[in-house]
Amino acid sequence: MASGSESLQKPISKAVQGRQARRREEELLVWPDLVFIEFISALLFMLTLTILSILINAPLQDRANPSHTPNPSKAPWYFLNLQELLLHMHPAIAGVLVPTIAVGALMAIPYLDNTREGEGKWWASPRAKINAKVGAFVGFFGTLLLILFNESKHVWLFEKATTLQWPSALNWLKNTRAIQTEIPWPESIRSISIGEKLFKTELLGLPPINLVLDIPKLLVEQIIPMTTMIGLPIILAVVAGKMNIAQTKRDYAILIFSAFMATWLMLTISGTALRGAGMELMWPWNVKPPVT
Amino acid sequence: MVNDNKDKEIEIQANDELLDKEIGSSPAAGESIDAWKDALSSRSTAVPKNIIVPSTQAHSVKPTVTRRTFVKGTFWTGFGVTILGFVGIFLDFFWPRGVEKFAGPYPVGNINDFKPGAPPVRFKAAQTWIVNLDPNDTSEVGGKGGSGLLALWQKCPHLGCAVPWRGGFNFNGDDGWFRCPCHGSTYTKAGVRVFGPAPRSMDTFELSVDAQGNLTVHTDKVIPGDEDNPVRAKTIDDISNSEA
Repeated sequence: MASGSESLQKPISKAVQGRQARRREEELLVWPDLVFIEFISALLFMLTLTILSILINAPLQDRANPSHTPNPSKAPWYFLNLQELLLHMHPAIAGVLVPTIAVGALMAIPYLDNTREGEGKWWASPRAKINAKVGAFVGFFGTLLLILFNESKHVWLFEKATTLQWPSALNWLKNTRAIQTEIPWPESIRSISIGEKLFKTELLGLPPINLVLDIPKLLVEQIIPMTTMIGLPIILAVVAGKMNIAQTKRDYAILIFSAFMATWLMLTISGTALRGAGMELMWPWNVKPPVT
Repeated sequence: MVNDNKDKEIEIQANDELLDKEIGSSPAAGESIDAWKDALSSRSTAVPKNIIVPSTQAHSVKPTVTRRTFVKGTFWTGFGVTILGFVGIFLDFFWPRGVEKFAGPYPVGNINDFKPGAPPVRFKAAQTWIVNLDPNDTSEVGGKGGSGLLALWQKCPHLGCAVPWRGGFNFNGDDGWFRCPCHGSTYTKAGVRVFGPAPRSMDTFELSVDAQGNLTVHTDKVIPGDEDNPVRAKTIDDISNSEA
């Protein structure tokens, strides 16, 4: 500030205005402060990987054979979140739409949150930590509850607690698929013929595809999962806004991002540690290595 | 700048004669060593101070490979090799090898091999589960009273994993289901979907029988699975009659 050339040192935002100039002692150097930590991390990572590879057998097997499926068949661990999603909805949504939108939304963060308020600072806003905590909590346990619901664990809990049978009138609430199979939907909406003209398969010399629209199936496989994945974050944001937990754009961004990361983590944990033979939900100690 | 360079070019041309004079000519062959010494000592290789060689003239010989060309060439070569590598890996993984022709008739044993209500039997080459539904078993998992032989395609209608029969697997209080190892779709003994992300029940194949009771599954005749799977099961008489 002493130099007096104000045009060069014009503060960018009010957050920077009036801030003390950094002293030399406050700065951290790349070497040794950063590189040393990175080196220690690399050593720990190598050590962990070595120990894990000694303890856990991961044999290389033959090329993939469609007629031979190990039980359970699991993707690499970092894809198990998506595989967990595949258990609950249409494969095009879980395998294509969700990852595309997730990656696109992550790339869009700098464009959506373009305020320079608190730039480069962790937890700059006074509400940042509470937003992160609320988002992570709701995302983690909300996802867990949804998984438990689709595995009919509420039915199990009801029957354990009351020693009664789950009322057959509520069979359609056993899991999401039951909405399709346990409700006597009229045949007229179960097979709406769209005809063979939508896809011009005859141009490729292929047999015609007779498209039949099944509304309950569409509801269970596509509409309910999409509504859940879009609606629940909106409800979370609205509630957090009403409770004054989230106030600025940055607050909402932290809230939704934490919820997303916690959801992803829960899906990974569930797909990795809670799914055994037949991708059945079970305790981690009951999960056995795949039978080939 | 352009004008400056032109001026300098003219200046250099003017100085060419001057240079010749200053360097001097070599003595003719056969002259004495002294003459050579004199000639050499009178020579000067120093560039006269009035000559200014501009940087554009300093290397008048145009290089065949410029730095830019080299860097570009390196980039495109590296890029090309990388892409080629990807294409090669792609082809290596996707090149069909050891593919056996599926779709067609397969022998799947004799009618006497299958007892009503017995666990399904898998025929690997035919990718088929042969089930003999017990008409007396009216439970959902047992086939809802469907009667006779049913050929189920092992391929899960969801994403194509081979579905195993799991006799000890308990679901909804009953034992014995087809359960997909990839995403947990669950089917009854007749292949009717009761749980999971599969879009429909397990697909069925057509069955035929000859006079000796040998069964053949026609894997080219696939019927998309539906809730009427148990009704598709045929007793031996049914199959024989439809043949005739």
